[in-house]
Amino acid sequence: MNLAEMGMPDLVGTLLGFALTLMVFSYAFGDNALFRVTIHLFIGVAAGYAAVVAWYNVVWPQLLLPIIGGSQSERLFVLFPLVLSGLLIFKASPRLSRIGNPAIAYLVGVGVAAAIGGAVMGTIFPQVLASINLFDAEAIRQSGESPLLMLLQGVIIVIGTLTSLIYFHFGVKPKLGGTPRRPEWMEVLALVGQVFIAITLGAVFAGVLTASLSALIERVYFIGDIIFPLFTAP
Amino acid sequence: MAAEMSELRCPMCGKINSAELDICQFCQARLVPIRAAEQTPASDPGANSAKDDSSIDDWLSSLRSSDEHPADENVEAEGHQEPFDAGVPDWLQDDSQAGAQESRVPTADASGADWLGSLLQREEETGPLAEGLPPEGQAAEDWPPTSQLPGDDSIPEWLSQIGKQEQPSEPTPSDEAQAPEANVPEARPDWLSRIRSLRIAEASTATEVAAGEETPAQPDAEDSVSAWLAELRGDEAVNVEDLSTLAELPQETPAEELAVEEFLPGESADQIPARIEQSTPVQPEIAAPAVPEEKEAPEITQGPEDQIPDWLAGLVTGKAIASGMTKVETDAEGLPDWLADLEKSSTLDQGVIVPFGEEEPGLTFDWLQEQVRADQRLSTSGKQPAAEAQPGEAIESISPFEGDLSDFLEEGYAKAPRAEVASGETEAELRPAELPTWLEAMRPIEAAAFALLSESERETQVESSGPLAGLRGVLPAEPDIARMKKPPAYALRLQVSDSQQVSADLLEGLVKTEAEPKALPERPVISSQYIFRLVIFAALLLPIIWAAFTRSQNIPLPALPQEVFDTTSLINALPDNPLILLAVDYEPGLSGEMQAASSALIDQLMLKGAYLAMVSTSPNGPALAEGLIRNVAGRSAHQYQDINQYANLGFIPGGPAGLASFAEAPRKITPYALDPESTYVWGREPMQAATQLSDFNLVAVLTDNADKARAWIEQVQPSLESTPLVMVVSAQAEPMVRPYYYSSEKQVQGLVVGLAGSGAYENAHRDLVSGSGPARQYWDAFSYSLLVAAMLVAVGVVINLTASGIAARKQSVGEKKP
Repeated sequence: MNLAEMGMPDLVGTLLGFALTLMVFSYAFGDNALFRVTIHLFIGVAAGYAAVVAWYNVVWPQLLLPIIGGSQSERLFVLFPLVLSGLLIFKASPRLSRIGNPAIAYLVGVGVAAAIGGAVMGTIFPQVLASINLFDAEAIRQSGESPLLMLLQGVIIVIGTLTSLIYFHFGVKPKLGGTPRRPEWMEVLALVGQVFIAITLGAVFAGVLTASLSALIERVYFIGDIIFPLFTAP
Repeated sequence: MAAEMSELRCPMCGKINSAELDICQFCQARLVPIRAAEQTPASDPGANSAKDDSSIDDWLSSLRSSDEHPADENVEAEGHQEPFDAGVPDWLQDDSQAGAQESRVPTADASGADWLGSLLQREEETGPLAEGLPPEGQAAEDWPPTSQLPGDDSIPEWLSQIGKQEQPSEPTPSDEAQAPEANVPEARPDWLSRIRSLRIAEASTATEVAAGEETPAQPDAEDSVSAWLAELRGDEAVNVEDLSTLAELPQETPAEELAVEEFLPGESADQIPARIEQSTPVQPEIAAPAVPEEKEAPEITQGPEDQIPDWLAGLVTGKAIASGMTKVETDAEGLPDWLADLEKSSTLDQGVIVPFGEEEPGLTFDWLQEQVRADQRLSTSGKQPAAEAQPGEAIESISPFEGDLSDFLEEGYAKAPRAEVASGETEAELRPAELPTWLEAMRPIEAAAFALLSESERETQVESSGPLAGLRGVLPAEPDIARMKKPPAYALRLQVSDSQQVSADLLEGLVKTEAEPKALPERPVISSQYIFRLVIFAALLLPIIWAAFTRSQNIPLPALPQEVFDTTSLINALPDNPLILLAVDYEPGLSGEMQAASSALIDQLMLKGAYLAMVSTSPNGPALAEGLIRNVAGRSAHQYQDINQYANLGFIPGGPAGLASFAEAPRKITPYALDPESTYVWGREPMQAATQLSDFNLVAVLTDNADKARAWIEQVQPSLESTPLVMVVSAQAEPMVRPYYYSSEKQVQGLVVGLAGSGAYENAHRDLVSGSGPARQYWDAFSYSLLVAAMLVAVGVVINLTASGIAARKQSVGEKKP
């Protein structure tokens, strides 16, 4: 990165980014004011940018512009979201917050319906089908892999899936004169499920570490790209 | 008279009751004395004369039987006294038989003999019972009807007949000397009659002495007092056996020393019952009253078996003492004080309501009580002269069992000291309850002192109102709660010993320390954790700095995984200038990784001439998209301009619901681009042909969040139909997204995971990003730092396991040791 070749906007941006990056790195020495300033600055900029985008991308073109310059049908179509948006504003007042409950109810209802429908149709059914197809001979044959290996892989996957689900089963029958406990066979399977869950969490932790290192490397290279040319001969 | 016979006036409350009743229906006092009821059965059939026969003492009944006198016109049946039997001495006979018409009050002289008569006369005229005067025609003797104290047959009838009307005629000595009590069934107290008789006798004696005449032996009705006294002394018909049960009477006091002359003037000593003389042990010490010495008290010679009731003896002697204490204020007729007071105008005459107990002495029993007190005082003080007591001395204590008791009761009371001694001896055998020390310490000091104090106060307190006025030690009629007294404030002071105080101080200190905040220990400026954190940071940063500084690219890029291969294959299969929907859904914090991971893919798309329509479900997505495009284009020297080569469609609100709506109608959700002109790109090429998401050639999602990736897969992928969906995800989201790639339906056709995927992507396409993409640049640093991180994790695991094993061994060794 050659600072001399940058234009003024890019230069200011680069230098600003450099300073802010160093300020963020100062957290390695403990919480301090520089880090807090950077954090607050980022939050403010992000919120402002989001507000501008929401206005220019949502409110103005989809809510106000149809009312102003749209046709009759467009206006009628916009009337319903306009009313709900007006009711939603009352949520800002503690006294009048009840008026915005219909809008909230509509949003929650639609969101829950979309989430549940997508989860069922987009995740549960396909994943169950995939688990079943692990033992499909035709698919194994077409994969070209060793059938025994494929079967073993399938068995492990199924066992891991089932035991993980059993681990999260906490329903027990009430027992008189004693502490309710799951059956022994369930306790054993739950223990196996615990192993699979621990492996999964370990994998997730590794991914997080990897992602963080990648981000650190990118920032270090950014700083290096600015500093190192200063120390190297042109 | 008939009307009088049909009604009875209650001696207690003064209300009129039916003659058929024995007990007052208002105050439940007895209307008809038992003795009177027995002796007048014929005159009043409705009288309850025969009801109380069983309760009459034998001595009284015997006296009655011997005191039968011829009835005169004053004899009435209802509630009146019945005449004594012939053998009953006059002093026991009913004074009412002497005639109510005349005053029977004997006086020391002729004028003194009229004191009782004048008393009765005054009572008739202006007495408190003026309202209760009998109707016309009813003899004065019959009014008020004789009454007895409830439940006490020995109560003299004089109490009930105190307000009896007297005839205005002045009694004569001869009349007073008579003893008509036995024949006059009047409602006149016996004692009063007897006293009257005695007075009459004295008066007659005095007059006779003055005139040289002897006192008639048989006083008439007006002299019934002296008469009964005389008869008592010499009457053999007295039931000695009955009298012997009465209180003991000392016999050493001569009659001359009695002060009974004060109110029994004219009565010779012979006429005074011996019992009266001998009832008072201190009689010899009685000061001589201010009565002429010529007036000798009737001599009472009585054998040891002859005993008069102590109440009567005490009555006479006590009064004598009381009157002896003070200057006898007698009127011209020689009336004693208690009678003289009766002659004074009563406050009732004035219509003034006097509280009960505060009436004039003559109207209450206070004068009687004074006598009793005087007697008691003498008895308690021993040899003290009577003059020491003052007339105005406050009534401190009045024993209800002195003075007015029948003999048997007084005898019992006289024996009380011995009984007390006996009880004391008994009490000595009973040990008081011993409280344990801890319980004793809990007793409030002030409460105990107050209890004792209140108890002593009650013993010395004299009742000042009500029927028990003048008595001491009476339970208060009013409950304590009704007394206007501020309750004392008890200070809870316990009896605490030294050891207990020390323990209490310790406990208090412990409790205080619990409430006080503990001072935090001073934290060192440089702690071990701080140093450890710096070491780790340095360990990770140094390889990166070294790799960045040295621009090392020695470590080979990873091999091409299947998911990356599929991605590159899909992109290679795209036509030229494809229409790509690029979703930029990662956060600014991981933009470095995402840019490095997606650079190769975008570079390949740019090489294809693809039109990139960028959207985002994050508000910051459009800005990140702009930066991504600018970075890749600048790195690879692609000339990608806004609107012409790419369109930033902006932000999709609503999360999963927004994606669902976007999948249904993308033009309505993102109609305009985020260029300064807000261009409607859906009307321009190549986006004009795309009316739905399936019209795009490829949908690429760049995200670092597994939830966002799932939302795109769940909401958008079903509507893509044949359009492939590839995802560039961060390493942290890969575990959640890979199952979608491995699903049988291939919901995700291509997958590029983090820096490793991008490196493999670049390794497969060396023509991408000019051969030196960001993945290549960062790979050595990434590899070194990742190695250091792995080593740190391994070392930490080893150290933790070692420490846990050592701790467990120490614990087991410690458990094994005894």
